[in-house]
Amino acid sequence: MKRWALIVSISLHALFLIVVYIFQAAIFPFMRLDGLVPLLLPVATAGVALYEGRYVGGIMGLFAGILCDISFNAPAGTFTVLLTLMGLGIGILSETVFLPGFVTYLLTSAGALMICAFVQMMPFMIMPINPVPMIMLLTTAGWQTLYSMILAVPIWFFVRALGKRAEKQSQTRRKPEERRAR
Amino acid sequence: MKTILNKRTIVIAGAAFLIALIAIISVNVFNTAGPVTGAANVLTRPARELASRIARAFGDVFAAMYEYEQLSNRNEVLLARVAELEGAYRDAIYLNYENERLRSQLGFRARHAALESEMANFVSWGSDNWSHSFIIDRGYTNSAIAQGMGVTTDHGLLIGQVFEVGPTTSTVITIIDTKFSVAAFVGRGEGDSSVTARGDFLYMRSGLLMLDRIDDELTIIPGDSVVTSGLGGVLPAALVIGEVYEVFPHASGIGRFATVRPMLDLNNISSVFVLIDFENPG
Repeated sequence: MKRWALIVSISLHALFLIVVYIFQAAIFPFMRLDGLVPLLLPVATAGVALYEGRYVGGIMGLFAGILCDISFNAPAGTFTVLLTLMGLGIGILSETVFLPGFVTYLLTSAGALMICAFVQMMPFMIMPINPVPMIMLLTTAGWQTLYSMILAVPIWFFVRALGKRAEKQSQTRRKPEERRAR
Repeated sequence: MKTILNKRTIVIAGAAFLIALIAIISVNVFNTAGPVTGAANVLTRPARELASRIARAFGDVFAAMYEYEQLSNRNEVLLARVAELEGAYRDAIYLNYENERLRSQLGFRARHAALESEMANFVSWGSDNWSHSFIIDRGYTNSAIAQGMGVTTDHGLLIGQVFEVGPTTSTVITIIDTKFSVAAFVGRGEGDSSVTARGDFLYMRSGLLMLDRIDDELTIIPGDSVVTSGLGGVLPAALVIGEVYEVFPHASGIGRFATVRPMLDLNNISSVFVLIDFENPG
């Protein structure tokens, strides 16, 4: 991808992530289901990385991670590192092994959400005083993942639309170069 | 391997680790959110505030519609219960006594003349399912707020404690958060009524907190009020935490614990008071 196309793509995806962040941090906390809020930023990161590859995926993971860290009351920097590595990892897999599509998107989103839930469970698992029963932690993690997965469906339409746009853009940029080569 | 770990990939991963490292150092050394998190908080605050207001407005409309139907149903039930309540004169006397006691507790401000507090506005809720916190519009650049300070309503009902301070915003954990723990008094002043009130993961989603280490000789029944004891000097004494909801024996068979229902609806917070300075009466 050319540098300018990368910048446009990153800007559009960043705007998309900000909208997702606003829904996650300011709107869904008022619409809790059984006291739960869905996690949308890891799903969006997984989707962007799947359709855009490692660079956009990694940068968007970094951005989404910072946003997650300010909206979660979690240990500092956890999600910044986690979502960046997730973006890079899913991006590398989509460039080598995965075929981007709805099913792959759902599977990677579910995987990303499960990893996030596990990381969020960690402080409770190693808590020396007042330990929380494992079944309680798993129940919360399970419902959180399930609730988020329902909202992964509408997010997919936006991720795919942005992905298609980037693909189209790189194709139109390639054409004059191909002509010149011929 | 070489194609996977190229220069760009390493730079992106390195940037993430660097930002995380700065945040960790900042939180542990300076007790603040860190420059990157702080800047992100400042930049996203207007959008979050706006979205919160819109969400709250929609929530109010739906709540009003839902409440109208609920109130109508409740009215029918209450009409039937009026007859029963007329005969419950003794209960009314007890309620009157309870009312007087709570009123005296709400005279909190009058009894804490040396209390210095600062008003702050609610910005948005923390959006994870593993804690119960919210963000207020005061930080270290626009107030004297510091980590650990108590957060109350203007009547002295305890909401929580300041957990993390940023440049213009701060994170407050509520009394049902698992990180919250405070020394408290419970009951009607019989025997040693000091207990520990703390958030518990098991009850957090139900909006309750927990009383631990209840003395066997202490008479405690649902409805008893729970107030801060002031022991430890972290929070002033006589801040109302809530009232006892249920009392249980410990699973181990030794001692009891109780759940506490907060006095205020924690989901309807708009403005709060941060206790900057206080003096506990002798």
